[in-house]
Amino acid sequence: MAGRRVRRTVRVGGPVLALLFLAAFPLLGLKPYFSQLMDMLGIVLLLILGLNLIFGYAGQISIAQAGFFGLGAYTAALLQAKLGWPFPLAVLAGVASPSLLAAVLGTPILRLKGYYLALATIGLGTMVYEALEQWQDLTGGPIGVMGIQRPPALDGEALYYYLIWGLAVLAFLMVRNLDRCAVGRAWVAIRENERAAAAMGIDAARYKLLAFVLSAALAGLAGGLYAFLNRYISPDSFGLNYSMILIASMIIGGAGTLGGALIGSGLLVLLPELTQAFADYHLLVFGAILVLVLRFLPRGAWGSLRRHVADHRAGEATAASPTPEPQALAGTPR
Amino acid sequence: MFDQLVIAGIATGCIYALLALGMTIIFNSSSLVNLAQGELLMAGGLSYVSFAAGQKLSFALALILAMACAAWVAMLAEGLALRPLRVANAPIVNAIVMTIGLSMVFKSGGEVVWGKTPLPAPSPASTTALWIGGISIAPQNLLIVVSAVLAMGIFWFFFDHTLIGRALQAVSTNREAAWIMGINADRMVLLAFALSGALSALAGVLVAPITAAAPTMGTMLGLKGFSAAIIGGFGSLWGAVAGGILLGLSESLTAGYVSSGFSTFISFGLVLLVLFLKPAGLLPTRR
Repeated sequence: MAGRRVRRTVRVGGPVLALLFLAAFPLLGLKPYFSQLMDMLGIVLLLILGLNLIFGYAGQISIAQAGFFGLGAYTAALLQAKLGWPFPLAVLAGVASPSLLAAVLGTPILRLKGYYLALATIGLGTMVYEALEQWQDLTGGPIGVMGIQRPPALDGEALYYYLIWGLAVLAFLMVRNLDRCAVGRAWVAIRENERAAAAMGIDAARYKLLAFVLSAALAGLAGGLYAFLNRYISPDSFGLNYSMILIASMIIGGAGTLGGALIGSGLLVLLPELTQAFADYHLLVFGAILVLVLRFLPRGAWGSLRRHVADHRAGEATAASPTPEPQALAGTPR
Repeated sequence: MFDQLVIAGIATGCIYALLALGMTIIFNSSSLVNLAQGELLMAGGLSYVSFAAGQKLSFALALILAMACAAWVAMLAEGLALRPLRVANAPIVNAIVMTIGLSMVFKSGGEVVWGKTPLPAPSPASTTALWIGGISIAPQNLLIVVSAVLAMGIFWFFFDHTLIGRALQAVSTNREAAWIMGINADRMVLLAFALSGALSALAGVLVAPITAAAPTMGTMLGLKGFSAAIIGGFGSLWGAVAGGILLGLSESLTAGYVSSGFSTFISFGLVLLVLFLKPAGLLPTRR
């Protein structure tokens, strides 16, 4: 059938083209503005992939992602700028510190559900933000941290770009593989019905903790890379607003899908640039899109697209039995 | 110093209590947690500034108009965004995220209408401290406490002693049974949102002369209100009030005796502790 061949071409050709584009991008000789955008896109992709693990796949609402991002960024930045740690160790420490926080607080936090969980993760994110802003002796307070230095070998924009995107592609593959193995199925089972999952022998607490720690680790990695990209960080980038924008982007793209993570991070990076006329009001655009998506496309852009394609295929195979699917972007027991 | 801190704590606590009460009314009638509650406070505070300072209206008139504005915003949110989710039987997470989206829209909508700079808010209370029984009290704090108590009294009377209030309670207790009794549940939920918006607007009008009115004024207050509602055992009206006062007091005392910069940090630390140890709230009262 022609349809199948087209689909196979898209499935194989799409990723190959994307990788070719990523590899060739620095060679195109575009203005620094565009390479900055691409660098940010890689970092935001790491953040949204991480958020997807806990919120999209495992279905546990988390409004703490910007807090983990900030903790990773500050850990890496302070270790480099104040103690002169080398770049790789500083970034690794930036991965470790939010992971540790998530590992320690994850068990009691993830025991909570629904709005209790929402409040607990808001509380955690806010505490990190407040610590960054108020612990002035350590963090420099609202002024932030300056003088973060990249090693000379990574000083070129192209090399740092390859580092960010190399890690982003690795993270993407990691999430894809997790999604396709037993861990991913366990997460989805917990998302759809935690009790049923537990009855099937899934240790829900352990799998939720794994998702939480991994999401914090990816956020920490994004934070370390961000600190060395900007060479300057301040608490403003890591507040509650940013956690909410990350959630909005993930859901607009399609929670719990890899394509959705790509669409969402693209939107988060490009929308403020495309709506320059709105100046600082891109939050309004984001909020409005989020409200409309939740109202009319609860599966998000990618989820709805995939659904559409699946329906189309079902029609093609004349097996007219539409499988009912929950309308959840991330289900919790009601 | 202790007396001062206690009075300031009770005043702040009254603001949290009004917000927590608003969230609880919405939660009881529709099982929905409204994370945009602080933005309703902001809508009230800012429209109050427009009416009182811009249009030079009297305090009472500006207050009533501000409460009406916030009630209208809340009803719009319910009718256009939240009810459709309920009708579609969407999971609770979708509704929580919807209120996050609404809070983003309201906050940035407030920036479009009023700008980002905080606006000074007029108050009928004078700025010279009153001396009552050897304790100096800021008149604004007195105004906050008196108005909040008055509003809660009116609210209690409405809730327990009027037909509409009892219908609202019936919907909170058992939606289906209320429906069988001929109560239009959707209309009652709309009323709950209106009441909740009005109570939050009152909090906004009362707090604006202290913090100044800005589109971001509601974010942190809303989260504190949410915390207060949960500390009080979510769903209990008087628990919400008690939770608010408790949170206000503990915050004021830590700001006074421990560290003012870290008071928010400590507040949320306490909230996390409550969630870990007693997720049903510190004050298990009857629903």
